[in-house]
Amino acid sequence: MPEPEKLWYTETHEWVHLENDGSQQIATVGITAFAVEQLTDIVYLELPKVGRQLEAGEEFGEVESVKAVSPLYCPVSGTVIAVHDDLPNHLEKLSQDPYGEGWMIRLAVRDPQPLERLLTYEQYQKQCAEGA
Amino acid sequence: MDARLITNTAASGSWNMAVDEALLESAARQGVPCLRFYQWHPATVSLGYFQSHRDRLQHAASLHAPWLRRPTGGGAIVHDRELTYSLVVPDTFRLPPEQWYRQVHEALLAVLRQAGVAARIEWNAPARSGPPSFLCFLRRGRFDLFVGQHKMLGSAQRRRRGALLQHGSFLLARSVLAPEVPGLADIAPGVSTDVQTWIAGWSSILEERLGWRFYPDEISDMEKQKAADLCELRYDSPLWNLRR
Repeated sequence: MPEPEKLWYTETHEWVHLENDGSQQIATVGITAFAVEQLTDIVYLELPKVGRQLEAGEEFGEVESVKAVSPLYCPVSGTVIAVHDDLPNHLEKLSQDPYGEGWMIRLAVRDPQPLERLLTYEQYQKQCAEGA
Repeated sequence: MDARLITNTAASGSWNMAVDEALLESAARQGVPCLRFYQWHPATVSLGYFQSHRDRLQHAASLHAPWLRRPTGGGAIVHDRELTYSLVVPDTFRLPPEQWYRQVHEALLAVLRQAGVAARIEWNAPARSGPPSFLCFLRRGRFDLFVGQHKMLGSAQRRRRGALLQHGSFLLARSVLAPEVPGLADIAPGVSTDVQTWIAGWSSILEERLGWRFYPDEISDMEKQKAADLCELRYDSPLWNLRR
């Protein structure tokens, strides 16, 4: 996986890595180290099934931490082509390697993507520093 | 800041959960916080959002009671001789979500102490040891409120874009559906269990702490319609309640 500096981010603390695979664009999605730290003790995670169609901004999963259930929002529109099924049983990966082994889903991206809704690394860092 | 204060009579579990979710949507849309107090009739078990419905088999005393799945996390609660509150807060209040546990629990702590009850709050997150208990009131979590060794108030949250819902249960007395869990009347005999007294004291201290001004309000017609839809879609639906 690329470094965090090369990823795109949402205001709701998801990251997305975009890469081209032939004629198709593939998005890999997870949650940021900041989100994992803020959520503190994550005890449950639910992810979608392969084949689900998602719109940018739509909920794709949920986590529970400190008795709080929080939604996960999809950064881009597309079809889920892979799910990290093992992750809910190994939640430690979220804190150990949030941008690698902590990946959650992969999507075949539907064109064209409204990338202006996403944040660059610098913009996301600024948001976190402001306490958002 | 003006905030809504709603006091409802006892209602079914599905209606109560649906109203809380409808109020969450209103808070996200309108930007106005709301504090609501209510009770449950008939007595009902609410499971935490991620709990398996099969876990109910572990708890014989409540096995034949009505039950449903909450939108919030944590363990199962027997809503019988207790007072439930819900608080919805728009995102414009930039308090870290966990601090709402602290605000609401410290307010009840103050009311209990005024009533002469030696209550305390668990400030540290206890270390996890083994699988969690089925019942919320047999678990220990940061910000839980205790009288002696017994948990008296536990809360949970549902966060979404735009607003946060927090609701919690204050145990007034032991229920035959959860005989292992004492309530306030069992460990502090002589202390009032009149719900209106607790509502008045609790909301008054919260108002003071938060700098809000509560005005009495009711569930709007639009919220009632939304709640009716949510009952059908979720809280009365096997698809929701049996999903795990």
